[in-house]
Parts: sequence; C-alpha cells; structure tokens
Amino acid sequence: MAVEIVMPKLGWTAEEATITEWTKKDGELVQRGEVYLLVEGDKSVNEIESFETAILRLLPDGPKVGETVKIGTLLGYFVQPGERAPFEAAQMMATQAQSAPSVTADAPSLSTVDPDPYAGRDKRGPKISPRALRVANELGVDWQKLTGSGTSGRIVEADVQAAAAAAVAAKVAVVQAPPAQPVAAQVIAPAPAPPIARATPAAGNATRKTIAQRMSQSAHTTAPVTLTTEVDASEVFKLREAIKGDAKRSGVSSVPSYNDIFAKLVALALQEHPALNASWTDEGVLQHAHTNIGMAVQTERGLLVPVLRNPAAKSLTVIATEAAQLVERARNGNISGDEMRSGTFTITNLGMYDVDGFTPIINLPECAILGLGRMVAKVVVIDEATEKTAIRKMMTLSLTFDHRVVDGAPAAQFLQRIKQFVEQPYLWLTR
Amino acid sequence: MKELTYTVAAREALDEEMARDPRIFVMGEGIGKRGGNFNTTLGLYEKYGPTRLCDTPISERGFVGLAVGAAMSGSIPVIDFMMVDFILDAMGEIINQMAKMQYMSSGRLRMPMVLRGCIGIGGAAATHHSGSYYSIFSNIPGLRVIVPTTPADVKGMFRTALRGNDPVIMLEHKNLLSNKGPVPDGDYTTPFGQARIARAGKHVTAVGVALTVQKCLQAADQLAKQGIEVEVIDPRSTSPLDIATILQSVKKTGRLMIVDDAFEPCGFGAEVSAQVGTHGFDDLDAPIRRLSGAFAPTPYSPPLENEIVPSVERIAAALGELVKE
Amino acid sequence: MEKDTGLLLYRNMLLIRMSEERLAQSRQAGLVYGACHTYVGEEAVATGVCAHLTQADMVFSTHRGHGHALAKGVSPFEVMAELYGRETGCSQGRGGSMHLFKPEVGLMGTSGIVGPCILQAAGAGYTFKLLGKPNVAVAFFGDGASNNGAFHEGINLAAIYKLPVLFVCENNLYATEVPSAYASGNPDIYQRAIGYGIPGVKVDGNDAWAMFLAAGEAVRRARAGEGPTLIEAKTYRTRAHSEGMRDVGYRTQEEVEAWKARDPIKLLRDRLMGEHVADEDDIDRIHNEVGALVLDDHNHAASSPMPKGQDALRHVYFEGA
Repeated sequence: MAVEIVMPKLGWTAEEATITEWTKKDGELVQRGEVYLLVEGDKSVNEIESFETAILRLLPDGPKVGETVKIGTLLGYFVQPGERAPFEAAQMMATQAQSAPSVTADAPSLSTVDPDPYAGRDKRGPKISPRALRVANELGVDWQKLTGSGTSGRIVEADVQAAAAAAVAAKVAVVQAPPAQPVAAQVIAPAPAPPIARATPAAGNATRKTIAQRMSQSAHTTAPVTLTTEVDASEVFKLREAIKGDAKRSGVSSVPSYNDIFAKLVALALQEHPALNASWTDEGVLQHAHTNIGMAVQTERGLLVPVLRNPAAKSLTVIATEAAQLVERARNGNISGDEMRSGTFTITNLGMYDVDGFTPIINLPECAILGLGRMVAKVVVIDEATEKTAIRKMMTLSLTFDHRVVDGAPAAQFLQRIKQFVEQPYLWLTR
Repeated sequence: MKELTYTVAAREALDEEMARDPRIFVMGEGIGKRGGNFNTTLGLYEKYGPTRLCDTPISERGFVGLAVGAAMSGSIPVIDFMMVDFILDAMGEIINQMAKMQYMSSGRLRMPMVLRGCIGIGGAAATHHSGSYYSIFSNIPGLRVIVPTTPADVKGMFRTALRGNDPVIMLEHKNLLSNKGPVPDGDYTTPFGQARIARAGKHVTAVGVALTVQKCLQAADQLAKQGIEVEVIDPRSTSPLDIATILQSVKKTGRLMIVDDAFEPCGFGAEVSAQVGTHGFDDLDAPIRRLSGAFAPTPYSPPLENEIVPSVERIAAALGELVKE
Repeated sequence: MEKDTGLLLYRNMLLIRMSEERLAQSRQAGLVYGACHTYVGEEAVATGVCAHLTQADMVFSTHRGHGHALAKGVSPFEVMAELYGRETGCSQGRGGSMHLFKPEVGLMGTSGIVGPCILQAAGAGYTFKLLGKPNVAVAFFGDGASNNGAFHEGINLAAIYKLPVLFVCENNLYATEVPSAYASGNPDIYQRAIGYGIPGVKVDGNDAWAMFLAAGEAVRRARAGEGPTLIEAKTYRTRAHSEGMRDVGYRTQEEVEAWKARDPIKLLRDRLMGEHVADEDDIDRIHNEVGALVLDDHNHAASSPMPKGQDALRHVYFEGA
C-alpha cells in the first residue's frame, strides 16, 4: 500500500520547512531506518528516516530542492516493489479513459487508486510507553536506538533508566580514565549511523529566517524587563582554574567552561525559584517539572541554542562533556532538532566580546534569559569601615524576564540567589 | 476500637444517628418488626416504633417517590432495598426527581436521603438478586454513590450520608456483610471522595470496588511471593471519585488495572481509564487494563456464576502479565 | 356565599387568567424560549383548593402548573420571569414553564414528568406525620397521570399510612391529545378511591365555589388525621396543550365552544352578581387591580437580567446553608 511522504513537522512552532536534499533517488529502495531526506527548518537540518523498507517515488510536479513548503505538503510516496504510486495510477486511469476501455493484467487495484492513509502506521519505529518517552526526554536518552523489554516489544521506563545509567557511566569513564575505555557505551549506541554526505545549505537562509521570526515574536509578544547586577566571580574563577590545573596533570580533556558552571548553578537556582522556570501558554502560566538549560551558540548559520538536559542533576564534568559535544555539533551543522528542544531557560554569554551588561531577548516559549558579561579584575571595597579594598574578578549579569509570567520581585530574588551561588560556590557544589 | 461485622457496624451508625436526629426514618420491605432480611434494622423497631421503621408494600417506585417528597419537606429518609436490583423499578424517581431536585430548585430544597441495598454476584442468587449498578448511578449528576468495603468505612460513611444534604446511594456487597473488622470508638465520620490505599506497592496499581478490593488484596498476597508489589486502592465512593489518589499511585507504579464485578462497557473502569489517560498519560508505562464482570446477565448455577466474575486467580494472573507488559 | 371569599376566589382566578394570556402573547412575541402550558379554563380548581392552604402547606404540581404556582402565592412576576428565562424567575431560569419552584411559599415544584407529584405529596404527608406537624400536602395532576403507576402506588401508600394529603385530579378530558374516555377503563377517576379505601369525590371543576367546598372538607379530614382524599375535578383547558401547538384533530370546535360558555370566571361572576353578593364596582375594581399588576409584573420580568452562564454548574450538590 502506498504511503504518503509529507513535509514533516519539526519542533513545536515551525509551520514550514525547506527541502535541503533527497539523499535517495526516485525509484530507489530505501531500507527501514535509512535517511532519505534532509530538511531545514526550526534552525537545523533534520535527517528524515524511513519507517519501512520501500521504494521512494517522488511527486513528478512536487516541490523541488531548495523550495520552502508548508508542513504536511505532499512530497511523494513509499511504494512496495511492483506497486504503482497513486500519481501513476491516476495518470494511467486518465490514459485509459481516453483510449478504449480495456482490462489489462496489471490494472491498478482499487486500493492502489485510493491508498489507505493509515497504512503502515503500526510499523513506525519502536513502541515506547508514554512514561518511558517522558523519562527519555528528561534524561536525554535517544530511545530510538533502544530495544524494548515489554512483552510486546515496548520500550518501558526501566529500559530508558538502564540506558541513562549506562550512558552516565560511559561518560564518566571517558572523562576520568585517561585511556578512555567506553565499556558501557555500546549499550546505548550499538552501531553508529552511517555517515551521510551533506550539502552545506546555501548560507543557512532558513535558519536566519527562523531566527528573525523568533526574535520579533519575542520582542512583540512578551513584556520584557531586564535586571542587571554586578557579582564577584573570584571564587568561580578560582574553582575553574583549579579544575583546569588538575585536568592538565591528569590528562582529562574536558574542563567545564564558565557557561557550564553557570548552567548548573542557574538550574539549581531555578529549582528554588520555579516561577522563572515557566512558559506562557494560552491556558496561562505553565511551570515546568524539569529544568533544561539552553546555551546560545554563535555558528556560521547563525545563533543556535542547544539544550543541556537537567544539568542540576549532573556533575560539572558530565555537563562539560555533553556541552562540548552539543556545541561541536551545532557548529558543524549536524545538531538534531531534538537537541534544541524542550529548553526551559537560556544562558547567553557575550563576555568574550568584552561586553558587560546587555538586554538579552527571551527565547520563547521560555520566560527568562540570563546574559553573562565579561569577567574583569576591578578594585572593590571589601570593608567600608576600615577602607579595605581588594582586586576581585567582577562580572555583570543581565536577567531579562517576561513580566506577563513573573513579577519583578521574584525575578530579582532569583537573580540574587544566582549572585550568592557565584560568590559562594560551595553553597551548591556538593549538590 | 472494637471488632464488628459489616452489618453490625452499619446498624450502629443508623441507630446512633436515629437517636440524635428525629427526622430520620427507614422504609423498606420487612425492615420493621422483622429487622430486615439482612438484619440491617434488627432491634430498631422496638426502639423507634412503626413510623420511624416503616414497613412498605412491594411498591419500590411508590416509596422512593414518597421518600423524595419526604426529603423535600424536611425528613431524612433511609430506604433499605434489601437487594439493590429492586431499585430499578424506581429509576425515574431517582434520576428525574431525587438527583435533580436541588438543582432545579436552585439549591433551595435539600435532599438528605439514603438508598441502601446489597450488590454483588455470589451465592447462586441469580440475575434479579446480583446486580452492581454503581456505574449507572455514577453517571448521574446530583447523586453520591458509595461502596464501603470495611466495617469501619461503612459506619463512618453511613454517618456522613445521614448528616449530609445530598442523596446518597449506599451499595453493600453481600459477600462483605459478615466480614469482621476493627471499628473505631466514638463519633467519627468518613468523608466521600477520599480513596483508601488498602495496600502499598510499587510495581502495579490495582483499583477494586467493594468485594474486588478484597480479591485484589488476596491476589497481591500471592504476587508478593514472586516479588511483585501491588498497590491496592479502594476508592470507597465512585461518585465523587478520588482520581487524585489513583493518579498518585500510577505516578509511582506506571501500571494500572481496574477490577470490578459490573459490566465493562461505559463503566467504572472506563471512567478511571479515561481520567488516568487524560491526566496521567506520561506516567503510564503500559496500557491500562480492565478486568470486569462478563457482559451478560448473572446465571444461577455455580460453574456458570464463577465464570462471569473476576476470581483471585484471574486477577493475580492479569496483574502478573501487566507487570511484564 | 360569603363576599370576601367569593371575591378572593374571583380575584385569584382572574390573576391566573390574565397572567396566562399575557404569557401566551409573550410566547408569540418570542419572550418565552421553551414550552408554555397554560391553565386557561381550569382556574377554579387551583383557586378553590389553595384558598384553604397556609404557606406551610405544600403543593406538588405537574407540567400544567402556572395556575398552581400563582394560587399558592408565587407572584406573576416570578412566574413570568421564569418563562422569560431570567435570573429573577422563581427557579432562577433553570426550569421554565415545567419546573416552577418556590418552597418558601410551599410551592414544592411543578414537573415535566407526569405522576411523581402524587408520590412526593404523599412524602410530604409522611414528614407531617413523622414530625407531628398540622399541615397538609396537595398533589395536582391530570387524567393522564391517573393511568400511571405512581397514581396507584402513591394513593395506596398515603391510604395505608393515613397521610394528610389531597390528591386532586384535574380531569380535562385529554392527556395531551389522547381522550381520557379512550385511555381509562373507567373514566370516572374518583371511583378508584374505593380500591384504596379512601373517600373519592367528583366536583364540577369549573365551579369555583363547589371546588372550594369540596377541598375544604378534604383539608379538614387531612388536618384531623383522617387520611387522604381523592378529588376528581371535571374541567377543560380551552387553549392548546402547549402554546403554539396545533390544536386540531382530537376535539371539535363545538366542544371547545361549549366549555368556553361554562368559563369558570364567568360562572362565578354571574353567581356573585345574581346572588347580589357583589356588584359591578367590585368586579371592575378587581379587573383594574389585577390588570395593572399583571402588566407591571410582565414589564418588570421582561426587563430583568438574564442569568450568568457560569451559574449553570451551581447547585448540582448541596453548597452550604
């Protein structure tokens, strides 16, 4: 039975997407799980895999490569060997209607003319329970690669938890043991996906367009207020320098960046101030149960925001490893849409450009964003009474929040808590 | 704390409430001098006399309609149906009158009344003495439907019913009547709409109704030997339904089975499933399962009768499968 | 005939008549959203019975209940506002024509189901007996309800418990459009009382004074603990079953005209004047007073606020005193 191929919906907000490349040719047999189409939308290039083994048939007058079309637009069909695509059947019917009516041996059956729109639905991917799916998203486990232990083959929560535990063990092993032996890694990644030759999208137009839409939507629909505060980051500086020195001695490559350190301490502060870990929806304010931190990254294609899942529960070393991989994939252009979804708060850092305070724009549907300024040595008053001064590493934090979702006082308290965490890292390091 | 049977606990509640509130009277067939077919009113006729222990003709629609008028005018009637199957003759009075009266009078009339009777399949009672119609009643706005399981609950919930202002249908499973259990001393009430966690467990949630709560507990005992920990929930009232406690349990276990004697289509299990599917979707690790009575009238002969209700063995097997699902 | 009583009966019948005719007009004007079952032609029954009742006595009525509500003391304003779907209606817009409630004056409800009022009146009678109150309950119902099981069960229960109840059957010859003579093995409904061992009385339901006297005896019996009475009032509705409904094919124009000639208001007026109990001035005064009252109440009702949508979910259960 012919199965329709339509422009897939990517992310939550995308309404259209661009055909970047057909990685399979019209008429070619595509194996289940193979990538046959690359699509750009929602700020990234997405690989579209086949849910079944079937022959790809492209719509003769369908959208062309480089064309941007609405989600749901028909692009072609998957047919079984020997089966005609509906457009061929239609062409044939038209031809037959013109010529004398005759019944041929391979006349199209009714089912070919009128394909069952739900055909193949039960063949899609592995089955997963809603609970397992939720946990997989929370823990950042790629469930598509798991094998379900349920009696019907369904992936259940226990499968996801086991994979997550194995992944953490693997990463820790990579970081801690110099001759990295990812013993457990094969549990979650049995076979690496085949490398795909990817055409560089022409100047990343779709990404720029999405960025433009998001930014103006944020600027026009939110009620943004920016609070700034100067914090003494000397302790954080010392912390990072100590880890760096130690890493050099032990040969560990991934040292947490300031962004990583902030991701963790901000996530912990968010757990104490859930009002900031929220979104504005049509039904009202939605407070998120999980805390996922987006990290704004400048790439050739423009600004991307890969998401760190639940950094509050992870060690700085694990965060550093994950973040490094995410940033690398974002810069190489092969980050998946999933890795940029489900963020609940974003951190943006302009410190490397010598910026102090600024007014970051909220990354919708989140309700707040924290801007990190440069770290700079300043003379500060330590004790006013004795006129004691000292040279300290100071930095400016800029918190923009959506006043529709949260009021000024709670936002200020949140920023104050971050300031405490920066100035006294031992308050949260053990968590 | 004392040990009482289910029947005696319920009768104590009725006796004590009749003593404190002269507006309460009881109607039913054989509930006067005889003391009720199931001893539900034994000894009360001597204490309260014929007007308050009012024997009736076999006139179910008549005395339910009469009790509706009595409640509207300031009495607190208790109707003792013996078998709740007999209540069906009065469905018009219950659904069109009793349940709607507070609403249609914009809250100016109160409807404190209790309709009680035995439910449940068992004892070769056959099809006119075995019905469990809580799902039908729970579909009606304006009614409270309670299904107490323990002696303590039946006493506390009967009291709540007699002190409230809403019409209450109290369904007593006939195989629970002689069960003994601890009953607190003193003047306690048990609220409606608060489920009881009859047994805590972490692998699967089983929600029973009346007798199936007991059966789920027995199944849980069997499964515990295999290392499967079943959480058994007794909703105690099907309207209002405490879905929060069930959702809380599913959050823990990820798996849910609803076990009851009544018919499955459009029933109690369907309601719980729908609500958990809506509000607890992301907590589910397996499809929700129902184990209900067969979709057939109740036959008489024991092998036929046994076939149509969930047995402890079938419950245990189904829960075991659900854990692996 | 006593002047005060005669004029009171006349006034109350006129109040029902004028209110019903105003409602019929309002129905045509689109002010009434649903059904409108008028009591035109049957006013003597409710008026004659309710003249004996206090506010603590209770009336349980049927779908043709505007007249019972008005006779029991619900104001035309509250009845009209209810049919106009207003917040100020006696059921706050929840009921319309068939669900009028004002327990404060003993109107315990009219009903869209034929029969239950018979049982509920018996229930109120049971309360009066249980709590030792000196009150009576009245069920008004039609010939249609007399063939319903509730009639049998309710009257039998009231009889065996000797309850203070009046069962008032308004036999207007048709259950909607089905003739009573066709639907009843014995169309003399009062004779069924014999089967329950209670008195059964046949009354000319278009004669207000006769109704007043018959009801007086039944109420006395009830208050004295002598048990219930079945009264069959032979009467007729001269308008359609429900306003706007086709009123042909089941009765003749001649029959309608014959009953209109025996209009209960006209009959009482002729008697008041003929026996020199009252004069033109008395009658004119009543017409002016009632006419002004009904017009005023209609205007007030038609300009009353509509209920708020969110109130639709209130009072499903008890919400506190």
